[in-house]
Amino acid sequence: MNHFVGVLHTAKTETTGDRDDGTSRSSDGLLDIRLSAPGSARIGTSPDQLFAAGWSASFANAIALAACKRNIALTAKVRIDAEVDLALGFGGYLLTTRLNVRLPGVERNVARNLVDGAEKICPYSKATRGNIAVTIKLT
Amino acid sequence: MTEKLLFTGKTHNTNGHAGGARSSDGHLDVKLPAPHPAAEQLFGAAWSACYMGAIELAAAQRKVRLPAGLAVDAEIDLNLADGAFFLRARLNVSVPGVERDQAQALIDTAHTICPYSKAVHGNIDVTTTLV
Repeated sequence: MNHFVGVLHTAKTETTGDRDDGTSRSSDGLLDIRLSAPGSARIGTSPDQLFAAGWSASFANAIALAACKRNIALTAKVRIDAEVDLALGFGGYLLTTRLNVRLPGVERNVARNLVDGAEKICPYSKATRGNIAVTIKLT
Repeated sequence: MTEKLLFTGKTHNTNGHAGGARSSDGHLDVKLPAPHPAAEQLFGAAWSACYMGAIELAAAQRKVRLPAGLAVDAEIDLNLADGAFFLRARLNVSVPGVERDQAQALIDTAHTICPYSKAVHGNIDVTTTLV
């Protein structure tokens, strides 16, 4: 039950054009990007790269929060290499995701526990649960 | 039909005040200083761009001509309720030059095509408004 609902922040973006030739800009101007089809001559990023970056950043915060709750000090930065696939399957277009997480200086079973805890609290993991295939690996 | 991989977006992220994200091809290279709604901006931009492609595909399937000027303004909220974080989204879609009923049908159909809409379906509140 969501007894208290607080909006922490709202991200506003304005996008024109599509994933092959679009541009997207945030209302604060800090995000200002060109989109292009991978492999095309046009310089630009793709929705899949943006999503990979956004999810990873949020997942890194979730790991930090999980560590804090368990009184575990993270001595080195969390590193996440993310891969988001855009695929075409029986039901049309679909995403699959792999998050490769590195927690330097954290014992392996503790790191696994933190990653499992993070998956329960990360809002992007929650938003996609049951709808896309996600593999989270400790590297 | 077998499943076919179209592309893979690869990024490398680090966290903290000097954190950031970089794609393997170097075309995406953003600073992600916490706290800042960077993750939500990235998701808003990603979803919008893909969703607009889905609107174009829906229009092509229905043989509707889309004049220039298609735009999506996305607002992604990061919320906290009883200690749990969750997302909420509003997509404000502008489809100029297309009759309103037709435009509404296109933006509804696009949610069944767009892989980002499908990825969050049933898990977050999404309000799509034709503006």
